[in-house]
Amino acid sequence: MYHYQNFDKAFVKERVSEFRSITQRRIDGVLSEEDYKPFRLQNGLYLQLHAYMLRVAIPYGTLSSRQMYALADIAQKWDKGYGHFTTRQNIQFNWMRLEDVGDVLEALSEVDMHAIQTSGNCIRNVTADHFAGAAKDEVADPRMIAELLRQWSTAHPEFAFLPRKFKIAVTGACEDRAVIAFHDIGIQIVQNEAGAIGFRIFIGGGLGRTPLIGQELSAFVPQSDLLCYLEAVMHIYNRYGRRDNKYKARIKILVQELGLAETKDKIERYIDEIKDTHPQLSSELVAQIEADFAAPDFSQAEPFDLSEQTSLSSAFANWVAQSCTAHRDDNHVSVTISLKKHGATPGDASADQMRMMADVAQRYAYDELRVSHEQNIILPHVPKADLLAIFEALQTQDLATANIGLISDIIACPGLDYCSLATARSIPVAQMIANHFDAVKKEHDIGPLKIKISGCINACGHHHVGHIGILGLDRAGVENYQITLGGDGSQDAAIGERTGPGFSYDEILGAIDKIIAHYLANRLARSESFLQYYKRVGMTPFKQALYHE
Amino acid sequence: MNKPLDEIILVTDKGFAPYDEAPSNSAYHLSVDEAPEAVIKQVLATQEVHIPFASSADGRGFSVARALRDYGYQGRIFATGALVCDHYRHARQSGFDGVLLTKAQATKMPEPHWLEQAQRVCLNYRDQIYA
Repeated sequence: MYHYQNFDKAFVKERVSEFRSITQRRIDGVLSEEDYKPFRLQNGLYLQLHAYMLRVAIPYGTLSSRQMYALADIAQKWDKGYGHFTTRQNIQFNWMRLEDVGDVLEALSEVDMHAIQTSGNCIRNVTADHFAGAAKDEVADPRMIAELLRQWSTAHPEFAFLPRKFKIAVTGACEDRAVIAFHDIGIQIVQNEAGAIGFRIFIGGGLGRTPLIGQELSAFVPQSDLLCYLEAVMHIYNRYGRRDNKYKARIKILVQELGLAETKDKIERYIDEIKDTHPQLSSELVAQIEADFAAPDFSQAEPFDLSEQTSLSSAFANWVAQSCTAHRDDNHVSVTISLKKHGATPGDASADQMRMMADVAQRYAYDELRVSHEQNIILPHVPKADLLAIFEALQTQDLATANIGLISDIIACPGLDYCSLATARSIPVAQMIANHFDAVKKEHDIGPLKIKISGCINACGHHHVGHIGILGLDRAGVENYQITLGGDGSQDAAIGERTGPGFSYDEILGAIDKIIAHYLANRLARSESFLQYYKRVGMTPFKQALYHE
Repeated sequence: MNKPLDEIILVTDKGFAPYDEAPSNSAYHLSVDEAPEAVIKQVLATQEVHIPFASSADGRGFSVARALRDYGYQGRIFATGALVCDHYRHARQSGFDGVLLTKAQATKMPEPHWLEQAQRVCLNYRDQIYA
């Protein structure tokens, strides 16, 4: 993991002081709410339906047990005893008091954490593959470049007041687990024919009310040119992005209106202006980042045959089957801890649960945890021999639900329960679906299936890329849920297609049940996943099942 | 900035000062809607540029100033308009020499606020990541 240097520590402390100073100016009436708002947001503080919400940055989803313990303490001391892990690999506390926020930021700074740029119209927390450094299919570990981008984008003087928020994701693997096609900028680490590592850059992807798949801006940007390249992209966006309509202000709209060719031309012409004077990266910093992300010594783990343990406990066997992912080292696996116990709020963890996950990471998993964009927690490196102990420990805190990748492993935005923008409830819909398919014991039979639920058109629940997407809207004061099918956030990126008219809150579970029943009755075999089936048969039979049977 | 000189206050790292206008009123007023590259010849012929900010959330001026510096402009660049002291760091690190305030702005947000922010200019990640 990246270890904070004196500069990072001083910087975060300075930001706490700066935030206190800005907030005092607001309290004293020197700053208007309009002038205060961009600065408040850049420090992660939202005013939501019921209270202030503080969103804490977890850079590329990576944190240590010490940091997880600190989050647990904050949840207990200043919130209602829990936190909510988000689709941008952050955590948010939904019940903050404004007068406590300075103290919370101070507590975060003690463990090298902060809330900088977790909201507002700036470059947000850079996200990355949650299996980074552990995945078998990796060209290179994306965390190193994500850390470099964190430093580059943090308090960037030119890009703190952009037309809209700006999201960057990085993957170093063949399988895209970071959803790079749906980011303002998606970065894929690639190797060219000469064996050199570089970056394939995608631009203009996004969800929200205008879902678009990112387009390739460059097939290969050499490592040494990356920051200059991104500086130019941001510069052009800041100057030309629309500011007259917030719904048309993302870079995807600029790319759509200018066209990819003209966008690229503007960027490249600006690169020509700055490339000769653009400073070189500090080799010391690069060396430090590389050293910090060196893989743990995996050779300490012995080969271990799990079959005896799994034969004795079907619950353990089931959990291993659902929660473990192959690791680059054969004696290890990556474990995904489900924050989706049936009936629970997706992504929520109590202070005790956080402490348990920190305990397990410290004791068995090289002291490292990750937050996945699917709102679960990852132990990236786990010796196989320790899996049973981890399973038993997690069970004591309701953290051993064996549903990763299944129908109840749902992404849901906070929806109308918390969010001031929401038009419908999301969390209760997720709970209803999870409880139903658990009760009828069908979810393992259904197999891999991603349901994603948004409580408004802003699509924070990523419904466009759900195999089944659910979008909650307000129709004349009544919640109405549209369903989309066939969305895919992976390297085979696709935007879900609407089935037709929406369903009321009371009807939505029945509609999902019909979709599932149709799939189960008509798939070629159990091995044909829901998404594969949809791609084979298309929308028509599902419409028939939903609206005409 | 269409104000009499005695109603304009210049903010620099040292705090407030009277504004010493560019010789023969020659400051170039560059709108953020203009492309700096399109007017760079005219701008290079001047000793001072003013770039207005339409709102505290509109950061185009920072990129425009940056572009002028990238194109080799070495004269003074001042920000005008809807800036508050919390923008000061961004302005200085983007190529501005300072901010021009109206008296009303300076009264609402007096010098100590600006001086406090001027001291924050030193902590900059760009000094860390570049050699």
